[in-house]
Amino acid sequence: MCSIQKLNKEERLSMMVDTYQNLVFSVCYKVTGDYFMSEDLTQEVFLSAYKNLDAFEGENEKAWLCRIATNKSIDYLRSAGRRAVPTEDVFFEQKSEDAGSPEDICLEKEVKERLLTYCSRLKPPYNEIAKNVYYDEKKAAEIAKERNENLKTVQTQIYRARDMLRKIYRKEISA
Amino acid sequence: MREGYNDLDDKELEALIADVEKNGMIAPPVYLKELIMKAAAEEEQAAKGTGRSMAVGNRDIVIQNKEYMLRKAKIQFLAYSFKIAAAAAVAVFCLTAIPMDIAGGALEKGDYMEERIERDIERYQQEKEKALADEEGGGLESFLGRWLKSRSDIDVDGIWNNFIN
Repeated sequence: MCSIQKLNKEERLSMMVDTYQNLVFSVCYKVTGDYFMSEDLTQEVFLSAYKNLDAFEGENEKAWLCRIATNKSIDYLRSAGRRAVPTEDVFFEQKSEDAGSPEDICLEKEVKERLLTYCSRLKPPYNEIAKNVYYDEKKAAEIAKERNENLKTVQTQIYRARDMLRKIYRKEISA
Repeated sequence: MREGYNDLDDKELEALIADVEKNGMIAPPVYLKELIMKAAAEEEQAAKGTGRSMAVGNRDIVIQNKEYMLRKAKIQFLAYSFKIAAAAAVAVFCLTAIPMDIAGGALEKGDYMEERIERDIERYQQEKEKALADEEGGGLESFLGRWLKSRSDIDVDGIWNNFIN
């Protein structure tokens, strides 16, 4: 803990993100049931933690971050017009019933498969770009290298693909 | 919405974390860390440049430095004032110093026509005076007679020339 305290704020944040981003994202996803909203909320959580890092004296970083994550997610759900958003509870329960053990549960795979379906609905080249990012988990630099394109171009395409996916996702959720 | 999440106490939070960890976690998009670090750097920059950040409950707000805001407002006001003064000066200059051809070149054209009319009138006056002088010398009849004769001589010569050729 002492060695962590010695790190500067950016390094501490980087370390926190590496360690807890999956957990924070999953908590946000469990509460909201919205993949892309969870992305925004996770970002907010870490940003909030970063701002209050100096004030944080507790030892349980994990609980602290999860507390911020649940608060932000609940705030999001409380905000107008979002009460009707269905959660992934049913999904979780179904998976729990189907699967024999926790190892058999592959929620991530399921989410990814769903994202892949949405990616395929995009027009080229965004479908490929989105698949590379969300399904294959490739970074922008890797994609740029593979496609022999400028990094900035790929970053812009990722940004646009994300926007399109968000729209499809929202439409799908509200339907 | 899960109503049970409305007020999570420590036990409920622990249960939630355990549930998430047990049921498998979802990896966020690969670019998320990059976005977070970028946003944090921007936040730091904003806090350094404009004021200090302060946490109020769950919401973080950036309190702008009062002096900085006042200075910024003054600079903005001076800039706008300068712009307006410059625009007014240019407008006055355009109205007074630069000669404007509202008629679209018609003035120059008008001068030319006037000159021409004056010249024509002058020529007319000269011819009239000449004619009057001739009249005084031999009368209008003699003037016309002379003129007709000269015309007929030319014509007769023309006719003869045509015959010969």
